[in-house]
Formats: sequence, structure tokens, C-alpha cells
Amino acid sequence: MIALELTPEGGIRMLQNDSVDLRQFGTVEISRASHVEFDNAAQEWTVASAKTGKVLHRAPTRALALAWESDFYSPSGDGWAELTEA
Amino acid sequence: MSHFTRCDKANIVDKNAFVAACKELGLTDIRENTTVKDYYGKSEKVDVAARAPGARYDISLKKNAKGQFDMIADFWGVRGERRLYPELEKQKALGTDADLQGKILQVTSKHTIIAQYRRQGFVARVSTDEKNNIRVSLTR
Repeated sequence: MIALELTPEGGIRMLQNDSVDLRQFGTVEISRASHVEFDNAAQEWTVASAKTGKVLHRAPTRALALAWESDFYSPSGDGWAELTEA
Repeated sequence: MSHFTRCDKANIVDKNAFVAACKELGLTDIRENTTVKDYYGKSEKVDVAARAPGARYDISLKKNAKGQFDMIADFWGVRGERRLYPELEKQKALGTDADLQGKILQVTSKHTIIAQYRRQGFVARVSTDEKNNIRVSLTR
């Protein structure tokens, strides 16, 4: 699923997905939302906030980590405010 | 590994989406390939013009050199003395020219995205949150 948020000011924002190219609408700004890394000591994958560095989630596989991350940072997810608030 | 992508003010790229937005927002007298006049009586050819009930002037769309569309309006004359959106007026959501312009851009973008990705086989679901953001979810 691809989720986009259209603001009352006329802006569009989303978690980057190559199926939707916002450049057709004008100049875009892209910033990293998170880091997905393998924790060698713990032998598991981690999802960390790019803004705070805090590890938010741990998963046994990269696919599970990416899925969690995608859900967390979607417009309806708990992490969306971190991305959209100044 | 995700990235956050934003476009702070989306350009209008689809004339038909603008027309659909005008209809949704209650604008009437929607005309294509027409001429409009401004406060000073100056005429200009535009691709689309629409009028809010009770407003003195049109909101118009004109194609620019980049192939996108510029929205042209004397927004004071567009909003006029009669309120377009009584339900939103209660929420004081359209108090300024920028508010109205933003709303038109927002709804136009919604229609643009839905039409474009429907052609690619996506199904769109639309919702509005408490901050009046419109959320469009695309699934295949």
C-alpha cells in the first residue's frame, strides 16, 4: 500500500515509493526517515529513527524490519508526526 | 531505510482534476477554453474558469511554459461577501486567500492522484483527518 497525505496548504507528502514520483508536481525534498541495520551483537535487525537515533524496533529478518518501518512511518502510523512536524 | 518525500506546494498538472475539484468544492459555471476579466476589466484567455456562487470573479487555470497550470484569481473577489463553504466556515478553515488557494490545490491533487493511479490499476481510498489533511491510500 502507498499512502499519501495532502495538506490543506496544497502540499503532498509520503514515505518514498518509486511507484509514485512527486516530482511531477514540483520541487521535492527527500530526507531519510530511518535506518535499518543489522545489530551484530544482538544478531537481529533494528529500525532506528534518523532524527533521534533511537532504536524503535527489532526484528529477526530484514523483511520484517522493513515492514514494521513502513507501517510505523505511514501517515496513519505513530512515527508520522516525527517526519511532518517542524 | 525509508525516506520521507514532500512537495510543499503541488503544481496543478491535470486540467480535468481541477475541474473535478471545482465541482466538488461547489464552484459552478465551469467553462473551458474561455476568456475572463479581472478587476480592472482586462481580458485574458484561460484553459478553465469557474465561479463560486455569489462571487464577483472567476478562478482560472492557464497552462504555462512548463506544461503545468497556473491558478489565476483575484481571491478577494472569488470569496466575495458570500461564503463558499458554510460547513468549513464553521470551522474557520477558509479565512484567507491562502486558505482557499490551498484547499483548491489540495482537492485538485487528490483528483489528479486518484485518476492517474487508477489508470495504473491502483484502487484509491480517501479519508480526512482532524487537521483537514486528505489521506489517499493506493493499493493494487
